[in-house]
Formats: sequence, C-alpha cells, structure tokens
Amino acid sequence: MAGKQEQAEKKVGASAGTSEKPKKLVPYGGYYTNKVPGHDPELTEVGPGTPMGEYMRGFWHPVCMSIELTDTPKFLTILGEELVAFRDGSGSVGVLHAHCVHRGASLEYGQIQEHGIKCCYHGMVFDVDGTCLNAPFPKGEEAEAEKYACSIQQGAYKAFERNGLVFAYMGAPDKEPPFPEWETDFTVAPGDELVPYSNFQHCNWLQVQDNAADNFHTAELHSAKNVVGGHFQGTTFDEVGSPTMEVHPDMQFVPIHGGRGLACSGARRVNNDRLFIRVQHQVLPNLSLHAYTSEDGSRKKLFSRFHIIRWTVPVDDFNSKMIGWRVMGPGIDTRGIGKKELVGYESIDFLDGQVALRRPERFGNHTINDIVDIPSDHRARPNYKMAQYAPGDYEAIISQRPIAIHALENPTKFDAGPYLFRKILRDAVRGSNAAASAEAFAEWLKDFNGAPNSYCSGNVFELPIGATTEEEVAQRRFVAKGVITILTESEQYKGEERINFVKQKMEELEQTAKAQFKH
Amino acid sequence: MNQISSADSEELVIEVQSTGQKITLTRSESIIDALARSGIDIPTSCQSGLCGTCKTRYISGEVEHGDCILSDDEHQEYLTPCISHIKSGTLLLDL
Repeated sequence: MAGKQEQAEKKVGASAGTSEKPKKLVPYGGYYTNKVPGHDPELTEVGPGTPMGEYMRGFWHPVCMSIELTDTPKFLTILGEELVAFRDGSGSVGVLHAHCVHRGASLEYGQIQEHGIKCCYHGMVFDVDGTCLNAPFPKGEEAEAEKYACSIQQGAYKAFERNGLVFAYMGAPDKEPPFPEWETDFTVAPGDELVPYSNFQHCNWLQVQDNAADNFHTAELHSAKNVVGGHFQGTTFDEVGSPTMEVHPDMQFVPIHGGRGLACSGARRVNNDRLFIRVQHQVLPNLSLHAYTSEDGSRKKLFSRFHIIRWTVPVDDFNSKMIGWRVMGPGIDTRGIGKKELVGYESIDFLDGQVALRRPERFGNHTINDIVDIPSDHRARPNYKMAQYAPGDYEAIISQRPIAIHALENPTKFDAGPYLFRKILRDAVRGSNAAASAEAFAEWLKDFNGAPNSYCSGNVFELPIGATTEEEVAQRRFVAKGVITILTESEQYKGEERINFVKQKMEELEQTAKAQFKH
Repeated sequence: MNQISSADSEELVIEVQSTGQKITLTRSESIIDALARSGIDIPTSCQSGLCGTCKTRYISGEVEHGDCILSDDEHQEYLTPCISHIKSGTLLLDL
C-alpha cells in the first residue's frame, strides 16, 4: 500500500507545477523496477500453521483421482504435507502421513493390507484411521507389542471416494464440516454424469484460482489472433467454435452468501437477437462452479446449471492441481460436443494447453486411463517452442512466477474478479468477516443440511440489441444484475420450486428489459 | 460494493486541507475527476479500486469505500478517490 512518501507526493504544493514522471514510468527505465518484492504469504502459503493453510484445512478437498489408487500406495503432497493414499482390501480409503511414525520410512513403499497398510521397514501395520493394528515383535513378546502399538498413532485424515475422486478432510477432527453437496446433486440432470479429472499446475494455487474469476483473458489468450504464424494447436475458441466465449464479457461481480462466495455475472451478446448471461460461482476458499463452457446461444435457455465443478487444491506453495468433475451428457451439453475420452488424469476436453503435456504428447503412447509422467520444467519440454506459438492457460498461469507477486501487478478494471475474490478470501482468513471463517462456513452448511444452492447458471435471453451502444450497455448490465437479484431471491426455495421461481422471474426480466430499453 | 446511499443530485463537498479550497460535486462525478477539474491531479491507474495508485489520506468525512484492496483499518484513514464516494456532506482530504 502507499506509504508516507507517496502520500507526501500527493500534497498539492509539493507536486503542483513541478510534477515529474514517477521513476517506474521512465522509458528504458527497467533499472528502476528490477527489484522483486516478496509474494503475499497471507493468501498464498498453505503449510501447517500458516493462516491460509489453517483456513484451507477447515474444508474438504479432493486429493487425487480414484484411478491413482492401485495395488501400490500413492504418494501425494497436499497443503505441503507428504501423504500416502491407498484403498485397502476391505475397500476403505486411507490418507496417512507418508512417514511411518515408528522411524520415518515412507509408507509409499508399504504393502496394502486387508485392513490398512504395512510399513516396509519394520512391519508396523496402520489402519486407515492411523491406529497401529500390529507391531511384529518376536514370539513371546506379544504383550509388549500390544502396549507399544497402543502408544503410537500414524497421522491420518478422514477420506472417502465420490465419482472417481478421493476427498480428504485435513483439519482438526472436532471441527469437521459437512461435505458440501451443492444443490443436493451437483445439478446433474438425469442421464448426465460427473466425470473426474485432475490437472497439475506448476505454480501456487491462488493464481490458478485467480484464473477462474478472470473472465477477460478468454477473448485474448484463447483467441486465434493470439497464435503466432498459424501454428494452431487447439488452444483457441476459434478452433472449437464457442462463439460466445470469444466476446469480451461485461461483468458484474457480487459477493454472495455472506461473503462466502462471489457471483461473476457476465453479459455477452450472441447476435442481434439474443443475450447470453453466464454466472460463475466462486466459493471460498478454492471451489469454482462453471456454467456451460460451450454455449453458442443458438436458442433461448434459462437456468442451465453446472458444467465444471473444480477445486484448486494446493500441493505445496509452488504446485497445485485443478481437480474436479466435468459434467457430461445431453442435459448440460446441449451441443453434444463433450469428449469423455479426453476427461481424466492430466487432461480435460476443454481447450488444449491446460497442463504441461499437450494432447499429442499426453495421448501419443497412452490412453486416458494411464497415469502419465508430468514434465516438471515447462522450458525443457520438447514442444516448448510450439507452446510459445500457441500458449494456453497452463503457460499463462504458471509463468506468472512460481508464486505470483501481487505487489508488482498493475491491474485494470477488468481484473476486478480475482481482486474481489482475494478480498473476500483475506477477510475470511483474517477474521474481518466472521461469517466466512471455516467454523461459520461449516455451520452455514449445516443450516442447509450440507446442500446449499448455487448461483452458477447459463442463460440465453431473447433480447434484441439496444438501439444505441449506450442502450445496449445499459440493457446488458440491467439483465446481468437482474439475474443475480433473481438468484438471491430464490435462495429461500429448494429443488423444483426454486427452478420454477427462477425461470418465471427470468421470463419477467426479459419482458421488462424488452419494454425498458430502445431496440 | 458501492451501495448507493447519496442521491445523484445531492450536493457534496471536497475540502482540500492545505489550501482550504472547496470543490462541490454530485455523486455522478468521481472524486478524482472533481479534483482534476480543480487543478489537482492525483495519479490513477486501474480507476476501479484495485491497484491503490490513487490512495489518499482523509481527515474527516463519511466515505463509501468501493475498493478491493484496503483493509477495514486503512479505510478509517485512507480512500481510493477513483471509485469511492462521499456519503453526505464534506470530505476533508489531506492534500
């Protein structure tokens, strides 16, 4: 923030008449801006005992995919903690501290048992809750073995599987929140399904989360004009035909649910007859709920729901993964263009360029069911130059430095989404918004039996373009805000009653806009 | 953010501490624009309360803060004139 000196420069007398350019604006003056300040630890560091790390530990997170659990334990780092995950012979999932509590050998070299896992080094067996089930002492010393076993406990976290993902809760057991069953069923229509995926990012978690609320990059990064020399590689919307996403949206960002989330309502004109309002819902600390990503606006559509359910899970301070579900099926995917064979480990059927491996490398010698090796140095990739020609989200996000330096950013008004999200996050972590503390969030979930409503929706209105640019701007903002208002009013209802309420109100909103603005 | 409290037509006043200059404005004009037309240029960049370039100290007045970056404590003493508004009456700026 501005210090005393900057304030002094704003003194009327001091600057009047003699105003010189600040050093940072001097042409060829890189010298003046060559010092790199530190990152923002309050929001980015997630290890045990850090403010954000403690906050994150108050929520359930997906930690890996079910297909990563095989006949050998899976080594994981989550929130800076080294862990092993496994499914034992009885079907229970264990997420344990990696290092054996006896003398530290990693349980990733252990043997999965009918119940629990056996350390390779001295044979201690630990159940999925960390209880030592057996310490193999010599014959005749069983009593001491029993006593010893009762004296130790392997660090363990409660875990379960859901639709191909493994979820764990890494906070204090007495503060365990309900698992959030958004909309009771994650809005999956009959005949649709939740398809799991996990995409590794070689950078701090927050810049990945920032990208979700950054609705303005799509019309640049994901545009054909951004590709050098015609070296197209499936990284742009122009190549896959999602015309509405190529348009700069007019965004309204509204903190919702008592500052526990952010509604990002974007207006994009489809053509002279229809207006697309896409509401993305960002939930503290690291969940985002995305409406249909392939909307072409070809027909009216009210209150279409989730297309991506995504957590940005910190691995450590310098790595993270986007892990969640792609909703697949004719209910959500009205254009029928989803590709299930591209959704899984280190892949998603969105634009290419989401992970270090691109599709030719990801699928060259592998199928979607393979746990492929992930390149760790983006500049050492054989296709580095190709990625420079047509960069994707992965290249943009991870190249913001291992941890993006907020103090060096020069935001435009179009960065309001990520900045507002950081603000509600900071208020939650600091305690300046008590309603968003992990404990209060858990209580809020319990008030809804663990199944809150979401603002996430895709809506195509039959609304002609405004007669003038001013009319059009006023109209699209009116409708984008109106949609948020309707969704807020609908909070009192659940299920079918809510759907009917929202759709009727949206019809009324369309009529009001038609009458109110000149076309 | 930015709940509108003062009516667009209500007359509001900025007072500059060092010179005693008074500038009247309505809500439809930003504080930074009102200062500029009175010859006081505050540097700005994002013009939407994100970057803090225009962060300015105030001595008294009721401010409706519209920024995303200042803490509650900072709001007691500073405002971002690019996006914040005067709730009513006079805002005394430390300029």
